[in-house]
Amino acid sequence: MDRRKKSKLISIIIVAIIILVMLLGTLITEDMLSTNFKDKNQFPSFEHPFGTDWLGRDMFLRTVKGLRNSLVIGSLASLISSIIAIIVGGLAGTMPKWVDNIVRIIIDLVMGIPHLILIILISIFVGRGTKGILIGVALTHWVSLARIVRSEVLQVRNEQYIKISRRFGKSNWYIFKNHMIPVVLPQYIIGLVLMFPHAILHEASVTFLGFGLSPETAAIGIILSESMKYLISGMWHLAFFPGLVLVILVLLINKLGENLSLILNPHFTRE
Amino acid sequence: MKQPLLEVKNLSVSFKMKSDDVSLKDNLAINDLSLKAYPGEILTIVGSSGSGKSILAHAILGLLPNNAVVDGEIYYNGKLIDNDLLNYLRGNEITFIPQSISYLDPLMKVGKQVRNCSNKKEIIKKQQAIFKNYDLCENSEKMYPFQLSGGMARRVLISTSVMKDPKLIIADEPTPGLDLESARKTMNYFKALAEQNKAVILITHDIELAINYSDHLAIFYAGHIVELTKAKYFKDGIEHLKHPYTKALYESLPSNGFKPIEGFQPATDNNKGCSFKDRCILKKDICDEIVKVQEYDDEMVKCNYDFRS
Amino acid sequence: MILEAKNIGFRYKNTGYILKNVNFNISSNERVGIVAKSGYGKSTFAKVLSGHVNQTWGDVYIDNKVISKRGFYPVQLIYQHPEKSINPKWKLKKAISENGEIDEMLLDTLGIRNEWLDRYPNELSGGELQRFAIARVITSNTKFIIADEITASLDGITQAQIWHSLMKISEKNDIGIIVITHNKELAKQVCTRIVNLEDINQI
Repeated sequence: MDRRKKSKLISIIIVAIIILVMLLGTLITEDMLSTNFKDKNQFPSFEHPFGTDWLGRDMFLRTVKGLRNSLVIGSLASLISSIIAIIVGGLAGTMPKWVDNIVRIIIDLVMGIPHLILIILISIFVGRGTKGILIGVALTHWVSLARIVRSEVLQVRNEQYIKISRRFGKSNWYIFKNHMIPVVLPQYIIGLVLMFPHAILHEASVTFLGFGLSPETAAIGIILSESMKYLISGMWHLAFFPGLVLVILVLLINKLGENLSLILNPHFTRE
Repeated sequence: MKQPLLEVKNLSVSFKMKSDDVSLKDNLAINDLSLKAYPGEILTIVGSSGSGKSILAHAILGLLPNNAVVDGEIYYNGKLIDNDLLNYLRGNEITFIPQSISYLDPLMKVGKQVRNCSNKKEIIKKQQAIFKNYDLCENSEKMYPFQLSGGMARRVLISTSVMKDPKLIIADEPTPGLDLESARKTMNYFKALAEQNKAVILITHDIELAINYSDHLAIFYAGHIVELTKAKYFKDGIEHLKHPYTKALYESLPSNGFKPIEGFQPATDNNKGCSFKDRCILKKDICDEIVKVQEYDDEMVKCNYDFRS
Repeated sequence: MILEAKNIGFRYKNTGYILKNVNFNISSNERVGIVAKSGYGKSTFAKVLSGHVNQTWGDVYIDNKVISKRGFYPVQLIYQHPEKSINPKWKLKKAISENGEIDEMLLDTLGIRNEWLDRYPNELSGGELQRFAIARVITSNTKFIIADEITASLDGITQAQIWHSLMKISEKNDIGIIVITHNKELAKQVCTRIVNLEDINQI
C-alpha cells in the first residue's frame, strides 16, 4: 500500500479511536464512578482492568471519563485558540505595517512568559475551575499557530502570481479565498492538530497542580495528583495506567498530525 | 589522436519512486548516454531546461540521491571509475561548480569556505591569489554568501573549484540570469582554464553562449546525446551539422532564420528506436526499431541516416 | 490604440532616481523592443507600464486616458520565470482560466496540449509553463503585452515556437507587444522598432 493511502488509513483509525473514547466517556455515568468501599485498593484484574482506587472506584472508567474531559476541554480550547490565531495571523499578514507591528509585540509578550505560569495566572484571575482552565489554555495557545498563519500569508502576499492576479482585476476576497487559503490551510490544519495535545497536556498539568478542574471531576490531572499520595503504599496502578493512556493519546494525536501533513502537502516531484 | 580525459559510455540513470501519482511513471532521466571530454578543451552539453542535464553532472560526480539506479561506465584517463576512485578524484582532480549559490554554507565566510576551513599559510595565500585572479576584492573573503552579488557569487564558486588544481571541471548552468557582460566574463574564465590544459564540461541551455566559447558541443535530447560535434560547425554553416535535431536547433536561432520545427521534446523513455522520430523529416521505418550510432574521431551522431553519402 | 508613458519618474525611498522624465509610446500594431545594459531599469519600467509598481510621478495613458488600477489592467506583464507566475497549488486548467474560458484556437496557436491541463506546475517544463502564462493574459480586454525576457531560459526551438505564436496572436487580436530582451538578434527578428532606454531616460 503506498504512502498516501497508508496515511489516510492511519488518520481515519486515529480519529475513530478519539471519537470512540469521547463517546464512551460521555456514556459513563456518575453511577458507574460511585464509591464502593467493598472493592477498594484492588490491583488490575479481569473485573477492573485498571484496578480500583482507595474509594473503590473503577480506575478504567475513571480514566476513560478523565480522557474524555481532557479531550473536550482540549478541543474547545484549541478551537477558540485557532480562531484567535487565524484572525490575528490573517490581520498581521494583510493589513498595513502598524497592525503587524502590534501583533508582533503581543506575540513576543505572550511567548516571553512561561506557558504554565501564564495559564495558572489567567485561571486564578478568571475564577479557577473548568472556566478558568479553558480560558487559560485558549488564551495562551493561539500564538504558535498565529505565527504560522502570519508567515504564510506574508510570504504568499509577495509572490508574483498574487501581483498578477491583482492586475487581472481580482478582488482581495478572491485572492484570499483562491490563492492564500490553499497555501495556508494545510499548514493551519496541521498546526491545529499538533496544538491539540499541547492543550491537553497543559490542562492535565495545571489540574495536577491544583489550579484547574475541581477535584470532584474525573480528570487525568486530578487522578494523577491524587494517586501521588498512594504510590508509596505500592498502589502503582493508580498512576501508571492513567499516565500511560494520556501519553498514548498524545502520541496518537501527534501521529495524526504527521499523517495529515503527508496527505495535505501535495507530492512534489523531482524532474 | 588525443585521448579523452573523461569518457562516459552508455550511461542510464533512473529513479525508484514509490507513489500513486500517475505523472511519476516515467522516472528515467538519462538513457544510454555517451560522451568524451578532452584536456585543454571545453565540452558544452546543450539541452532545454529541466531535460535532465544536471542529473548527468551529478551522475559523473557520484552525487545522485539514494534512490537512483545507474547503469553504464565512466572512464577517467582510461581507468574505469569505481566508488573508491571517485571518492579520491572528487574535490581533487574532478571538481564541480553548481548552478545555485545555495551550495555554499550561509553561516560561514566565503574565504574560509573556499579554503575548506584550512588556516595554513600557503593555502590562504593561494586562495587570495585565486580571488585576485577572478577580480574579487580583498574584502570579499570576509563576506557571507548572502552579501555577494550574483556575479561575485559565481566567481566564488569558480574559485572553490580551482583551489586544488583539478584536471576536470564540471559546471552546471554557469551563467544563470547573468547579463551579457558578466556571462562573457565567466565564459572567458573557463577558456583560461582550458588553456591550462584542463578539461572543462559545461552544461547549459544557452546555445549561443556555448557556440562562442566551446570547442565541442554535445546536443542533449530526451535523455541522451544525439550528436557530439565541433562548436565551430555552428558558425561554419548548417551543412556541417548532422543530426536533424541539431540542424533544427541551428535554424531556430534568431541569427539563422528563427525557424522552429513543430512538436515537443518527449519525456525520456526506453522505447525502441529514435526519440526524435516523431519530429524528424528524414524518418524511415527503421527509425521505429533501432538507432545507429556513428562515430568519427571526436564526433558522434545517433542517427540511421547515412552521412557519408 | 496608443499606450503612452509621460514624464515617468521612479525612485525607491532611499535611492536616487532609476527613471527620470521618461517618455514612451507604442501603438497596437507595433512590437517595440526595449534594450539597455543590465540592471539599468528596463524591468522597473515594465512594471510601471503594467501597473505592478507605482511610479513616483508621471502617468501612463491609453488613448489619452489615465489607466485605472481597478479591474482588468489592459497592459499585461509576462515574466521570465513562469514557475513564479502561476500558483503552484493550482491545477493548470484552473490557472489558465483565471480570466475566463480560453479560446480553443488560442491553446492551439500556443501549442498547449490537453493532457497538460490536468497537471500541476511542477510537473511541466519551463517552456510548457510559459505558454500557459501567455495564454491566460490574452483576453478581449488585453491591449498591450510586455514580455520581459520571457524566453531567456528556454532552448532555441521553444523560443522560436513561442515567439512565432505570440506574433500571430498580436496581429490577430491587435495587441501591441513591448519586448524586453538582451538578445539583439532576437529583438531584430521580433520587433518592428527598437528603443534604447538609455536614450529616453534622463537620470
